[in-house]
Amino acid sequence: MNTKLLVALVIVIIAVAAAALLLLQQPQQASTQTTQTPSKGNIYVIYDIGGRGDLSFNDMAYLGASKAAKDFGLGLKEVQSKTQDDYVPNLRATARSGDAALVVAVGFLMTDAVKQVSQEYPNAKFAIIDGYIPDRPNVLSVLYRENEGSALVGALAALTAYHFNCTKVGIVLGMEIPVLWKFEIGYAYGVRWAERYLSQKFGKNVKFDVLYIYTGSFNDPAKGKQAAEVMLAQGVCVIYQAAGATGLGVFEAVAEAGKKAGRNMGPPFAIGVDANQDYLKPGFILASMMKRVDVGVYTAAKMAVEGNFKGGVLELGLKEGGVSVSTLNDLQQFIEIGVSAGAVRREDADKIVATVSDMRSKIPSWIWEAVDQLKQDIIAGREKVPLPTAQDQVVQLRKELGLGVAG
Amino acid sequence: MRFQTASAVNIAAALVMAFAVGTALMWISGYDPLSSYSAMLITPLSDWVYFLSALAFSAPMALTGLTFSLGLRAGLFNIGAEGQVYMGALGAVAAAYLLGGPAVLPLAFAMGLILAVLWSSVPAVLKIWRGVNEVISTIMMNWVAYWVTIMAVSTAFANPLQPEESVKVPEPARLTPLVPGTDFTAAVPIAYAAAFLVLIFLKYSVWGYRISVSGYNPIAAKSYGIKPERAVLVAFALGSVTAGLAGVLQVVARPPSYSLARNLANVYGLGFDGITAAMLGRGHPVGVVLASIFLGIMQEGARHMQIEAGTPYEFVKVIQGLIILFLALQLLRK
Repeated sequence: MNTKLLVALVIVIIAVAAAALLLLQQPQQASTQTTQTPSKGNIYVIYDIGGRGDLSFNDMAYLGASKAAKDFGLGLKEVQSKTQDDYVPNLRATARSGDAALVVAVGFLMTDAVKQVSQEYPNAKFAIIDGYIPDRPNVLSVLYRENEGSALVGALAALTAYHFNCTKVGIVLGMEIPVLWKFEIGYAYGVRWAERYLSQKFGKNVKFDVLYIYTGSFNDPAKGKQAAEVMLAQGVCVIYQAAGATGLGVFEAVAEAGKKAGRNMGPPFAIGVDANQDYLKPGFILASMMKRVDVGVYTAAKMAVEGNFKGGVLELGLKEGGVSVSTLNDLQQFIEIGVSAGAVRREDADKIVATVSDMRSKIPSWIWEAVDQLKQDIIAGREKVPLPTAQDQVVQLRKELGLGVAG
Repeated sequence: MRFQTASAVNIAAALVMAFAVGTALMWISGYDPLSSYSAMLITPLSDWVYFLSALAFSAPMALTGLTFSLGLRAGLFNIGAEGQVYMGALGAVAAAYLLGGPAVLPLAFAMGLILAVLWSSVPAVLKIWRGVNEVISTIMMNWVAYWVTIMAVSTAFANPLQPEESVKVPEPARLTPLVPGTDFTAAVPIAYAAAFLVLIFLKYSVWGYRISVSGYNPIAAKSYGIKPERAVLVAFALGSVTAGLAGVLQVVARPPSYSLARNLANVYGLGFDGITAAMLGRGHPVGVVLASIFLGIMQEGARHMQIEAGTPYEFVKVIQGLIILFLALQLLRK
């Protein structure tokens, strides 16, 4: 016992000494870090359990917040949630801090928590992405018409599949939450629009199979890969992903399948989501349905800073530039995100741009024109993409649009 | 495997070393250890709302810590709390699905606890009759519970309005915050009372004595006329009651959702946090409560660390892992 006690004591002394040494070196470092806190307050960004590093939804929110912080001279603080029990305490802590110009709750999952905390702290300003809280004076709900953007990539997927003599397209989704119904139904609508387009334009009657899988997760790339492999095995040649970080596995599976077939360019193709993800597997990602979460966060921050913040709903669709199909032009900015997240190397950037533009040129221009026509029709209100809000509507629409579960 | 013999010196050494290594890691990664630790450990104590939130986080860990401690007393390495928490939560959700109104509350406790006890009876019976190692059987049961619960929450008990979670406990059956504007619900006093009852049970009841004796030396216990198999059974059953209680309370007494997440995010990992609490608390019910409060403060502190110092919350998990590692290192020397 005595020797053990001695050993323990020695360990404690060494540890304390080491800690003291490290702490002594601290002051110089600390001073450099604290000086840059601006006085105008902070934008707080609270992530749900998915979190940063998904190269899409959450990273886009960060992008918008950091741009707003720079433009308006605010500080930026991020808070990650470990479990759903963290949502309320996280919101409370930021609201209580007293220096919050705006608290951004990133994600539908925080809806209940924002409802509760916005009532407890009526003087704090909140913005929630994808959550619907229309009746609080201090909550701005930023909603997107993802169904419109998804219809465009649905049409793109179907027409591209047709070009490569394939009639099966798929979509891999995350958790089954109402937001994702908009992706699923919009995508299927776009595919059916493409069928009508083909019969009108070329008099060809083509029938596409639209398969979908809900993986139940936003942060599990392995699940996404598995889901995509199931689809590929069934002969699906274009897969749209709306699954956060889970969707990164879809890209993996598609690129692997393509390379196994000896190609360095699709088919099979994947379609990215939220961010411009075309750079992640260049040549195999046809395009991305960009949901400009950054625009929403930036707009909310701007309202808060300029003093015209008021509660309600801010709806962003094709018309408002809230959703769009990725182009070559915005690729560069998103490669930067990938570089800072460590997903791609800076030296590869030019090669990636070249590969992506090469791939795009292999898709005939009539397809891009068709997608653009659908876009104009939606903006002008000539095409109405269904917007499901309840379970029974989704069940009905799945039947009408002929969606089938893959596997 | 007698972790309760960890002395106060062992624990102090493990804490100091874990925080020292944590300091080094933060410093290397470019974060400020001083302001991180101050935000992690001091901020939760300096504000009532934050402190009560820390206590709310401590409640389920105290309960699962009791599960592990009861196992240790009987000479078991029972890591089945995780699955039993799921079962408790599932029972509560099933009650919310079956009934409406205030009657859900008693039914939730009844169904949750019964399910948890049934779940623990499998490894208990396997251990007694076939000598199956409880570490293996409880791990397996944890995974079965995980998928069974996910399946139930995704299908039968899914919330049609919010598909990411189960049906909600109806409002009259909820245990709402005792202090408005915080997460401090009846779950906290219930958890601490459970620890007190376990303490009384272990110290003053015949069965508590039998468990301790057969845990120390099953052969000696036998020669005194104590059946160690029964002690194992009682330890498993009582442990599953506290773990099941943790699961029920996470559903009926945790604002704002009062439901079980479809990916089990609000119960996942609680069983394993309990092992940390039990090891830090030396397997003693009072120690477990104190350790769970300490862990609760760290968990609450994790968010303030992000806000005040910009340090990622993962460092809290790193330090908790290091505490266990250094405890185990010292104990393995014996």
